[in-house]
Formats: sequence, C-alpha cells, structure tokens
Amino acid sequence: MASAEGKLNISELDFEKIKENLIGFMSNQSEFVGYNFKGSSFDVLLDILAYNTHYNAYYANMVANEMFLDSATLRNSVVARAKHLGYVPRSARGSKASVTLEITPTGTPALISVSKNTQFQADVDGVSYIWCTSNSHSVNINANGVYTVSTIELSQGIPVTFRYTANTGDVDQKFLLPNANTDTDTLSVVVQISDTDTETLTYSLANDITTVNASSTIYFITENDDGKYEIEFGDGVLGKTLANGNIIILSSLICDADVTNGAKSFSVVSDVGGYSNVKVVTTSAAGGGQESEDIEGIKFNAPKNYDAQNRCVTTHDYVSIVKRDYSGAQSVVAWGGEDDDPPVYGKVFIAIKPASGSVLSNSTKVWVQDSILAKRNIVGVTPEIRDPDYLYLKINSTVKYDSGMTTNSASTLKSTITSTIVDYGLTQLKDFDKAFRYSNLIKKIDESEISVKSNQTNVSIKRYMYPLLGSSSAYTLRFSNEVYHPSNTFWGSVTSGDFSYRDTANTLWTGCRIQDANGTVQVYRTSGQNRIIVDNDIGTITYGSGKIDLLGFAPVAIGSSSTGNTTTLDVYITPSSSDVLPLREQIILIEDTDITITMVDDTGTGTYVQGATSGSDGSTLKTGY
Amino acid sequence: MATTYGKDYKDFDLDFGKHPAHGDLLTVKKTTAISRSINNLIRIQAGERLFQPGMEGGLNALLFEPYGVLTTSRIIKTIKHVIGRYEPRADVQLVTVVADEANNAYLINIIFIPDNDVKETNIEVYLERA
Repeated sequence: MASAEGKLNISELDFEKIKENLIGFMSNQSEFVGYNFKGSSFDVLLDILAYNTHYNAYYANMVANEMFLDSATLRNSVVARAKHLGYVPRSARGSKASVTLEITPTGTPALISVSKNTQFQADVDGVSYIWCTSNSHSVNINANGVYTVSTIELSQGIPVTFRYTANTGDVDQKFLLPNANTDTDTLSVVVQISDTDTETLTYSLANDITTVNASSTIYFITENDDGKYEIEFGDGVLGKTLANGNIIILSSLICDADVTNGAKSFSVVSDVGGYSNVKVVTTSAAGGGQESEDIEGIKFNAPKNYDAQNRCVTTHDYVSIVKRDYSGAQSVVAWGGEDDDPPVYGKVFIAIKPASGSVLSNSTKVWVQDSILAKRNIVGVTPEIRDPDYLYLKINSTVKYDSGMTTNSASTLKSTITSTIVDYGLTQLKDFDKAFRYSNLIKKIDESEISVKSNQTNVSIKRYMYPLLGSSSAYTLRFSNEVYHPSNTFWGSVTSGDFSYRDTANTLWTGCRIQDANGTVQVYRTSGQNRIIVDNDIGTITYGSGKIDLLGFAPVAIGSSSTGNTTTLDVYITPSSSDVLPLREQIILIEDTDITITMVDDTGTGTYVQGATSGSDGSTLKTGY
Repeated sequence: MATTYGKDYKDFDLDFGKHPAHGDLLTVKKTTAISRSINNLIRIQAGERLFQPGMEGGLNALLFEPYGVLTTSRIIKTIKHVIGRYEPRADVQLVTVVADEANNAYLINIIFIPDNDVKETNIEVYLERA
C-alpha cells in the first residue's frame, strides 16, 4: 500500500496490489475526487496504468529470471546460459546392443564386408524398431568354414543424411540437424570440396580448442532455440573454415531414445554384406537409450562440466566427464586410490552403474578408460573402472493391523506391504550414495494401508559370495557397516546360507553355516537346538568396519553344486545401526525374495485389560540367529 | 470499499474534450460525475475491464431478450443491482424502462439521490441492440 505521505510503493507485482497503490497515491492529491469508484472514468485509467505496470513488472521479472541458469525456466534460456559455460546439452541417445553374426553365404567368398548402417530390427512392446551397425566390419571364413563376426555394436535409429552447400556470402547460413531425436553421438560430418571435386574431408567434434589450429578439420555443435542441433565450422583461426561451394554432408541416426531399451531379439532387415542367411546371436541386450537431457539435467551438469574444464583432476571431474561422454551410464561415482581399502596410490577408481544391466562389459570399461579418461587425466594417475558393489537388505517385518478397518485379507495386506518395500527400494535406494533410512521404511509400511497399526522390522545386510567349491581359498567380504557386537560374549551377528563342509576329522557335514565368535569366524552345524562347531577358525571379522576375511574357507558343496565357483552363498550380518550406508561403489538393493512379512491381527476392543503382561509378537531387538 | 472522500466529486470527461479557456482536459463534477459513473457501469460488458472479468453491467444479454414485462423487470432489477454494488454514491429511487421496439432499444430513466446532495437527480440512458 502507498504510505500516508503519498509515496508510491513500487515493490508489488500483482495487478490488484498495483492498483491499490495507485489509488493510495491518488488519495494524496486533490485534482480528482471519485477515482476509486468502479464506474468512474478515472477507474478505467487506473486499470490501464495498473495493467501496464503489471505487464512490465512481469516482463522484467521474466527477463531477470531467464538471465541466470538457476532461475531460468525456458529451455532455450537454460541452453543459452549453459552455452556460456561451454556445455552442450546431451541429445537423445539410441540404445546400443551387441550381437554376433554367423553368415552363411552362397559360395565361399574370401571376405564378407558388413558395411556401417547395415540394418537390423527388434520388437519392443509389440513395436518394431531399427538398429544399425555402428561401424563397418570384414568377416573372414574361420577354420570351421563359417563366417562369424562377434561383438558387433548396433545403434538404434534410422540413418538420415542432410546435404548443404556452403555459401560464404550468406552470413546467416545454418547447418541444421532438423530432426528432434537426432543422436549426435552417431553424427558424421563430411565436407566434399565441391560438386565437381569429390574429395572429402571428415571433420571431428571439437572438444578442446587448445589443441586446434587454422587447418584443424573440426566442427562445433550447439542446440538452437527449437531444441534442434546446429553444426558450426571453424573461422580460419579456430578450425578450418568452409570455402564457398563446399558440400557439407551430415549423417546421423534418428533414434527412439529409451523406449527401445531391453530389446534382445534381433533379425536382419534385408541382408548383411549381400547375404540374407544370417544367424544373429545377442551378446548384450539393447541399453543406454536416453531422452535428450532435460532442463534440470542441464542445470545440474553444466556448472560441473565447467568446473571440470574438460580435464580430470578432481574426482568430480571424472564423474562429470564420464556422465557427459558415456551415455550408457545411469550414475557414476569416483574416488581417489588413497581412499580405497587398502589404499592404492596413483589410481583413481570410477564405478559406473549402467542404465541397463548391473555391470559394464569389459570392452566398455576399456573404452571408457582409454577413450574418455586416459587423454584427460593427470600424468601418473591411472583411472580404473570398477563394477558397482551390490549390498542387499533382508527385511523381516511383523505388521499389526486391524481387520475391522479393512476389507482386505491378510494375504492382500501382506502383498501390499511387500510392494511398498519393493517400491521403497526402487525409488529410495538403487544408486550410489543412497543410504537406507530405517525410519523412512517403517513409516512407509505404516502408511501402506489404513488398517496397519504398527510394524516391528528387522534389517540385516546380505552379500553374495562365490566360493570355489572343494578348495580352500581366501575371501574378503566388505559390508562397510559396523556389525552389531555389544559384548565379547555376544555371538550371532553373522550367518549364511547352508553348505557342506568337512571337519578336522575329514567328516563331511551338510547344513553347515558360518557364525562369528568374538572376532573369529567359524563353521557350525546344528543338532536339534544345539550348534556344533565344524571348524572353529576360518577367518576373522572386524566388527567396526564390517569386514570379514575368510582365510581357509573350503566348502565342499552348496545345494547340489560341488564344483566351480558359480554357485552363490548368501552371507548375512546384523548391522549395529538400523540405517545402512553404502560406501564408495556400493549400492544397496532390496530383492523381493529377501522380504518376509508376518501379519498379526491386532483388532482391539479399545482397552487392554486382559492378562498380567502384554504379549510379545515381534521384536526389533537384535538377538542373533 | 470506496470512500466518498468529501462530496465534491471530480472526474475527467470520457469525451476527452478540452476546456475552451485554458485548453486542459475537460472534467465533470459533483452530481454529473456520479451520473457519468452510472452510465459507465450499466454499459460495461463482461471481460471488458482488465483483470476483472466478473465486473459487468449485465444489460447486454438482456437487450436481446424478447420485449415484454419480464425482460423489463429484469433490466430494472439488474440496474438496481449494479448501482447498488458498484456505485455507493447513488441512492436509487426509481428505475423506469420503456421499450422502443421500433428502434430495437430501451429508454431507461434512473432517479437517484446522490450522496453529495439532497435533491433527486435524473439520468436517462438510451440502450440499443448493437
């Protein structure tokens, strides 16, 4: 409101407030009287004045907001701000798959050439999509008389090519990639000298202008106002400039982004190298397809990319650059070797969680290491890609509910609560740095259905180990969370699945498990309610760090398996804290099979009057196994 | 709520004429200012005023209703309502509406007592279908 002194308050933005301020201002003059009645002519004038002020205030506010990366809301403003930081938003990415081809030609050609962009198709949810070979391949006949080429990379998308003729007289000439879902990772930029001179030069994306000169055949890529990509060439100082009449040939794939992830059954569209009798074996299902980077992603990544300055010095630089250059990464974490356990100096470790699957293939790790990181990291520091380390939570919950408040059966409620826990695992965990928060989970269980009154939930941590059956070996299991061990006489925070084991008298016992005994790990079997030690020392446990070192662990069989090291043995610990935190490359998951729900109908009369003491029907106390 | 802020109302003339002597914008004063305000009010159509879509005289739709006692009654009621709601300076005494069917119009006569006078004032408005 205007002050009593007649000063005009100019801080308001709403139409009504502005008009009130004008009326307040007018009340301090005597030229017009009656301006504040709705029918007066002056009221119309005040409306127009207030509208104009409101309009300009809104415009000024928008302009100010759109000038900063944090407050901008329009995509082209965000992209423009990111451009100042040298950041190009990621385009849509087609999924990538890996296949092995077995070609049966007519005759015995010396060589079969599989050209780039040879097309394959696969169905996802009943819709057929196209994949193309990312590179060309030559296939020789092998010793068995078969033409086989393995690990061919397929990129999803339909190939398109655009040709432009450079006109140096047109200063506004643009070289656009006019399709919305162009995968710029697949972009090939070739410049033909002229219509008559068919010599061509292949240009590469400029990533580092400190290494280019006037003759570098590089191109720059930017996103324009429409969200499409535009190619720019050098100016004769930073990169080779175009000559009049040059023909610019832009080839890329138009992809379907993430909807094609998961495709795994590929077939040839027409032929491969001229032959249609081709057997396609999928070695890696399609994954890594992504929508183009959204506004929030640009706002998050652009400053970090600027921080990295296209070089890998800090751990954040590694994360930023891997995320930028490897589209198949869903999330990335990096740490210095000095923080590893045990410390490894001179190394940087990077763990990548792929967008599909749980670990990267070895070839992808090598590619990330050599093609993305090696040329940008400091001399003397070696990057090494690690797989994510998965920890699993075993949830055991006793849930009390009031059957009078719901029409659902206990089994339906159990299913609902299980879904709640699974959903919690999918949304709140399943990534680096995402900790399990006990109170959040039990709150979700309580809120999963109106009849749920309370829950008593135990949490333990599970790891899979793959012991070599029939041989004594050493294993290290890092739970990275303190193990519950309240006193030196307490035992039972460690247990495992069943396996067969020989005692010192070489007698084979089935149904053995491991347990802890004040820092020592033992193998035991049960006889009735009693535990009988089979091997009283197979390793140690460090309760503080949650690390189990098995030194001479020699299980004979797990279930029906008695050879190899591909059968899993589950090992569980009871954590000291109900919250479970992942460390470095660790990711916490909850598997459906690890959820145990016990429903207790707690329909009450409103008062608890019977019995001498209240009953016990579930506990969060850590009592061991 | 509007205030009557003295009784000597002064508004500018929507004809935007200039004063013959000193050339300033013409103004309307006292009871005339109130009469002009009433005239403005009953002619306002919905959505005409910025950011006030609900403000209207309400007569526009009625002008296209069939001539008759019912329509006349509704016009009177609407005029009284809009003046009562938006023009507190006028105490309406009588509203008469005469249909001019030949010219597709209504002749409206409003008698009111302005709050800056004790005498009744008369305002005539001729509304045509347009």
